[in-house]
Amino acid sequence: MIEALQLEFLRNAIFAGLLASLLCGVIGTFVVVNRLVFLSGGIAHSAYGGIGLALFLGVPYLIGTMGFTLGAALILAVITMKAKHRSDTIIGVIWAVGMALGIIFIDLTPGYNVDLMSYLFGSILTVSRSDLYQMSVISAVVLFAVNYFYYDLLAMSYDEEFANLRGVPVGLLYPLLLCLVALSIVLIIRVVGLILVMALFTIPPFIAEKYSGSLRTMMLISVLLGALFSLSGLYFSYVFNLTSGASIIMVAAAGFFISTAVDHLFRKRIN
Amino acid sequence: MNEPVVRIRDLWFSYGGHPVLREVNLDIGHKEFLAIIGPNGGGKTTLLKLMLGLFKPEKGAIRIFGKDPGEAAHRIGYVPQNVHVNKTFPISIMDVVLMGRLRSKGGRSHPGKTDRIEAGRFMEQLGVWELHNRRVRDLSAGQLQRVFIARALATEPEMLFLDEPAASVDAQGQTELYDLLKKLNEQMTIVIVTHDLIFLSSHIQSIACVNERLYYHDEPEITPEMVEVCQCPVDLIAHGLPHRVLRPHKDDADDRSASA
Repeated sequence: MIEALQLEFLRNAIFAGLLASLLCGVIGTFVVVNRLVFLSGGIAHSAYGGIGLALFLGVPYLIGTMGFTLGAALILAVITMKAKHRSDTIIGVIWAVGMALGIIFIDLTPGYNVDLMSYLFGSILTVSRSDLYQMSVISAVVLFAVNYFYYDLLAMSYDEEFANLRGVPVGLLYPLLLCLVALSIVLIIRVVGLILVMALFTIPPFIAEKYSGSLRTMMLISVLLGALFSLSGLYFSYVFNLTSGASIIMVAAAGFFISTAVDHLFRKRIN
Repeated sequence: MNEPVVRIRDLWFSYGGHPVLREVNLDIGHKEFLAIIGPNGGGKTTLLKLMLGLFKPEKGAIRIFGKDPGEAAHRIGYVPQNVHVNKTFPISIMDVVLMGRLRSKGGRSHPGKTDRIEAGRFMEQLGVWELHNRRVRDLSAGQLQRVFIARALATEPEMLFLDEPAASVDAQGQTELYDLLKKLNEQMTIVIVTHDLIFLSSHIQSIACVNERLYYHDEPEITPEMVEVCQCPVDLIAHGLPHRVLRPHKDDADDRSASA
C-alpha cells in the first residue's frame, strides 16, 4: 500500500475523495435537513445534459456541466418556490429531460468515443492535477458562501417564516443554496459519478444527524464519515480491483446499515 | 388614546377562493393588551399573519406603526402557534433563540457576544437557560413554547404577537406565562390569540372575536354579539367567572341555550 501512495494518480484520487467528502458533508447536511434529496437527484441527473453539451461543443467538462446544472438549479428554485405542491412532479420532468438531452447531444457529437460509464459511475482514478485545482477553487467558493451565510441558512432551514420576518432574504438565499448544491454535484460527479452522487450526499449526513446537537456538529461528523467512506472505498477498490465509485458507495451503504442496526438494538435495550 | 399602532381598514382576505376574512376594521392602541378569540378556522391566525406581512390582503389597508406590514415586521415579536415545526431538526436551543437576533444590526447575520448575552438573558427570564445546549427534539412542547417566547423577546420588539401560547402549557405554566405577559405589557403592545379567556380576563384590556368578520370590544368582556358569532365562549360561561367575562344581559339565557 505504501508503494501505491507513490503513484500520482492514487494521490490525486485520495485528495479528490477528501475534497468531495468535505463538500458532501457540508452541503449534504443542508440537503438532508431541508428535505432536498429528490431535488438534488434532479439536479444531479440534469447534469448529464451538461456533460453531453460540453462534449458536443467541445468545451471543458467543468464549464459545460457547471453552466447547465446552475441553470437547472435556478429553474428548479423558481418552480419549487412558486408551485410547492407540484414541485416533485416538475423535478421528475427536469430529471428525465436532462438525461435525454445528454444522450442526444452525445449522439450528435461526431467521432464520440468518451467513456460514458466514467460520468455515470465516477472516474476518481483519472483525476488530474488541473482537475484538482479546479475542484479546490469550487470547494473554496462553496465553503466560503456557507460560512458567510451560515446563520441565515440555519434560520431559513429551521423556520423559514420566522427567518423571513427577521429580514433574512429567503427569496435569494434558497436559490443560492440550490446553486451551491449544483456546484457540489458537478464536483462530486468526478469522484463517484452522477448515478451514485446521491448516496454520498445523504448517507454521511443521515448517520451524523442522530449524534449532532447542532447543524455545525452535523456537518463536521458528516465530513469525517465521508472521508472515512471515500478512503476505505478507494482502498477496497485498489485491493480487490473494483470500480472505485461503486466501492466508495458500498462502504457508505455498509456504514448506513450498521448505524441503523446499532441504533435499533440500542433502542430496544433501553425499552 | 394616542395614534393606534395597528390600523386595519376594510380588510378582505380569501384562501383558494374561500373567504377567510371580510370587512375587518381594527385599531390597536399603544400598550394595549388585546385578546383575539374565535372558532377554529375563523381567521385568527390569518389575521396575525396579515399584520406581520406574511400574507398580502386581497382588499383593504393595514398600517403597522404607520407603515406597510412588510416594513414593520421586524418591530414585532412573533410566537407562532405550531412549536412542533421541524421538531427533529439538529439545532440547539441557543441557536433557536439567537434567531431573534438575526440581522438586528443589518448586513451579515453573525451573532456576536452581545447577542449571546441578550439571548441568555431572555432565556433566563423564561426559565429555559438550563436547556441552552439541548436540541429541540429533547424539549417538551411547554418548554419549546417558552423558548419561542424567548426568541420573540430577543428581537426587542415594540409589539408582541402570540398565537395560542398556552395550548401546550400546564396550569402552573399558564399562570406564570400570563404574569410575565402582564409585566411585558407595561412596555409593549400585546396581541394574543387564545381560547382561555378565564385566566387572561384580569390582564387584557380588549377582546376581538374573529369569525370571518371581526367584533371588537374595548373592555375585557364578551358582548352578547360575540357569544352569538363565536361559539367558543360557551366554554367560558360553563367554567368561568361569568360576571367578569360576560356582561350581564337580559338575553343572556337565550344566547346560552342557542349556542350550546
